[in-house]
Amino acid sequence: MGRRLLLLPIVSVLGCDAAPLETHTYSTDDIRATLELSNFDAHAGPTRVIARWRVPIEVNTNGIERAETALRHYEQWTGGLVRFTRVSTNPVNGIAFAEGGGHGPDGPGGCGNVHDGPPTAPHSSLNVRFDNAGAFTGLHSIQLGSSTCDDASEGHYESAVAEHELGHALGLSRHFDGFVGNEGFSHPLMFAVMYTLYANPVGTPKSSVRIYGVTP
Amino acid sequence: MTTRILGCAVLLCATLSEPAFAQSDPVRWGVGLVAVPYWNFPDAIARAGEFEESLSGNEIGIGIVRARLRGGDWGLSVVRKSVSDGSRFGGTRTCVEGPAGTPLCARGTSHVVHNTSFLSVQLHKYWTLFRIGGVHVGLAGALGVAKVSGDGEERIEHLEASGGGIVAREQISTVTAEEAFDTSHLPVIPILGLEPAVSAGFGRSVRVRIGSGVNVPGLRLPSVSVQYLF
Repeated sequence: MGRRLLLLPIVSVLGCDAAPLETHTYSTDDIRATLELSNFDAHAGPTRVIARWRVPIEVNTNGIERAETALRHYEQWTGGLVRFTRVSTNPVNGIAFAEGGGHGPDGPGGCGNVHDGPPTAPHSSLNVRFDNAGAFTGLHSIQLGSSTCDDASEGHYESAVAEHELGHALGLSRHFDGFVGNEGFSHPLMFAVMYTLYANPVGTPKSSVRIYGVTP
Repeated sequence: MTTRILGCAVLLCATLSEPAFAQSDPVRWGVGLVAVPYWNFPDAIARAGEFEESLSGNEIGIGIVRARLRGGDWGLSVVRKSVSDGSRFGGTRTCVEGPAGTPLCARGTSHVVHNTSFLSVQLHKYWTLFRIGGVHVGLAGALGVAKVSGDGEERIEHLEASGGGIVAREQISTVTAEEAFDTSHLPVIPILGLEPAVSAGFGRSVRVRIGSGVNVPGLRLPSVSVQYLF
């Protein structure tokens, strides 16, 4: 809103009797296409399959409150479809959060990053690894905030950037409408894509994914 | 809307004001009162930013002016812009087709404010451009700084799988108005205003100026200034 206040004098001259904002609805085909586009590629033999963790997923939040809130939102909002086991050391296979160092390619001005190195190490890319069925293995490290960006205030709410980075760590590679960087896990399309990803069993061919895990 | 307000203001002033005098009209000090019965955040902004707003309120201010009875003026005012209780802004309602084929919608993050106002100090100037009878038509500008105070709520509307279905739920938490407007990182909020206006002098000391235009964070519909010159 602060930035919007500054834009006001420029844009308001365009008029004040505008039509109400139109609500956009994404179809199940949109959800399928978005999942196909954003989800990492895993292979089970010659077949392209969905790339996700087996649940429950081991996570070390390193005591970061925003990370804990992000985990709670994913668990509660997906009705437990995505669920975590909290651990106090960095898991061999799982996710670890670290405070600071988020100078990666993701997000504006270095506010968050996901990579496959040790959590606090400077590292910028996530090279995903899979088992034979297509489930993630190894460590996905999430760095929150940096010396140039406070992720707690950059997102739409305090844990929003943490939820975005967690979305990457859970299997979404490319950004899309509703998974841009600061909206957290609150956008319906992001919800539908993530829910669908974890409602389908590990090893499901991408060509036969069921939206929301429901047979059409 | 702005055009209609100014049109009415010209007619009103032309009817009631005295004709321009030929004698000298010295620059004088005075006091001024400004009242804005209604302002709102224009839909054009919301549409441009693809978010939803229902932000409105009223405004009142008092200050000193340096003016000619029938001419331009400048001055310094303290202005309190109130935000209507329950004004909501932020977020965009978006839907996805649900498992049953019906749309599932959520707005994301929005804010609602209560007992909120912007208190500002504004330096303002009014330039007269031309005259119709005893009425001057001109442009009023304002520059200033403001602080916002009040209470607010952060509302996160999201989808949630619950009881075999997916529904929209809202998570509400308390924030300050500063946090709601996302201005906590600014030492002050810059205020910028620009509005076409008409003015007229009445008797020996009273000036009235009526305008309508931009004054952050909204459009003033209209603004009425009454000034008394010593």
